[in-house]
Amino acid sequence: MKIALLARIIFGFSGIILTALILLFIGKNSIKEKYSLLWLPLAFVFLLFGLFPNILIRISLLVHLHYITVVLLCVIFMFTCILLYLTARISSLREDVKKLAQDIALSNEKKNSSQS
Amino acid sequence: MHTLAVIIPAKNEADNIGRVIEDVLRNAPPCEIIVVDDHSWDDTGPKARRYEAVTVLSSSISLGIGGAVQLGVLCALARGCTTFVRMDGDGQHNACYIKNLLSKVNDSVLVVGTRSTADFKASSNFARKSGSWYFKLLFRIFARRTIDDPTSGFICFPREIAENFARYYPLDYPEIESTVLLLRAGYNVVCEEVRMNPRKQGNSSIGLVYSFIYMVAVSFAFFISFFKKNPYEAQA
Repeated sequence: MKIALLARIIFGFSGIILTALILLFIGKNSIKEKYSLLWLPLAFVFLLFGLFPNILIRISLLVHLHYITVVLLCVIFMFTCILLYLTARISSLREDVKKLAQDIALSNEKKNSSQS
Repeated sequence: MHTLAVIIPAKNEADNIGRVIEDVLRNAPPCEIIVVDDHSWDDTGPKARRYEAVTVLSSSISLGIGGAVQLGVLCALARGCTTFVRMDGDGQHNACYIKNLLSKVNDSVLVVGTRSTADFKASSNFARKSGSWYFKLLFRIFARRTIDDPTSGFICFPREIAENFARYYPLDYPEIESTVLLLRAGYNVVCEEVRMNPRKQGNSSIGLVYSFIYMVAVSFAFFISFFKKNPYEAQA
């Protein structure tokens, strides 16, 4: 089994563009470094597949699937992990925001009652 | 300062809130009235502020019903209240029944004001009716308790339970989940039949369209709450 040159170029470029975007976002302070570590492995995997297609071929022979299916499964798995983590973060941030809003409401009320 | 707190969470209830407050002032025992204006678009907050005896807490974001009730509980705890009543801001609950709830409350008991059988039969809201039956069945099968109207928002609880609610109160569909968690922590839940009014103004958040999603989400919360780490401290 061989991987077409075009596929290698696509993998390689996707990896480079993704890495560049992540670094750009970090530079602009739009993404915290901590969260960029979620996405960098994905970019790394793309680069790896572009540079060393033999890894992909070995995996696909091992699991008896076409290489593009393996790529798809890898990407889906990584995306799922990232989304799950982000959902957990959103839930805990929602709790933080709720506490903050409650504290503001309580201190506003205290301020109002001491004024009147 | 009173030892009883009546907490009224209200979102966009400008048409009802005045009537509810007057009902509490007239028919409830002396109490701290705490209205939680949960980021209303209308003038719920200003209308509630017209009453001098009422404490109005206004949230700058929408907290959801759970967050609003918890905010009221936090305020009442800070004022040293020992008994807490939560009633809806839409006028469905009658303040004259607060004394009935109070007669059943003690250190380890949550009292749920349940819709009387006569009102329940007369109610034309099919979604609400079937929802109540369904949750009653769930409690009977899985929690081995008979709670007639477990989704009721008319409840009375002591300080110990309030401290638990201050620590954790579910955000979105709090009644069912908190009841299960309390039962697991060894608290008792008793029902007191009360008459309830149909809504006079506005639409309940439990409409026909919404009810299916509501039932699925609450059922999920119900089953999960048997397994999740219980944030409530066990009843001593």
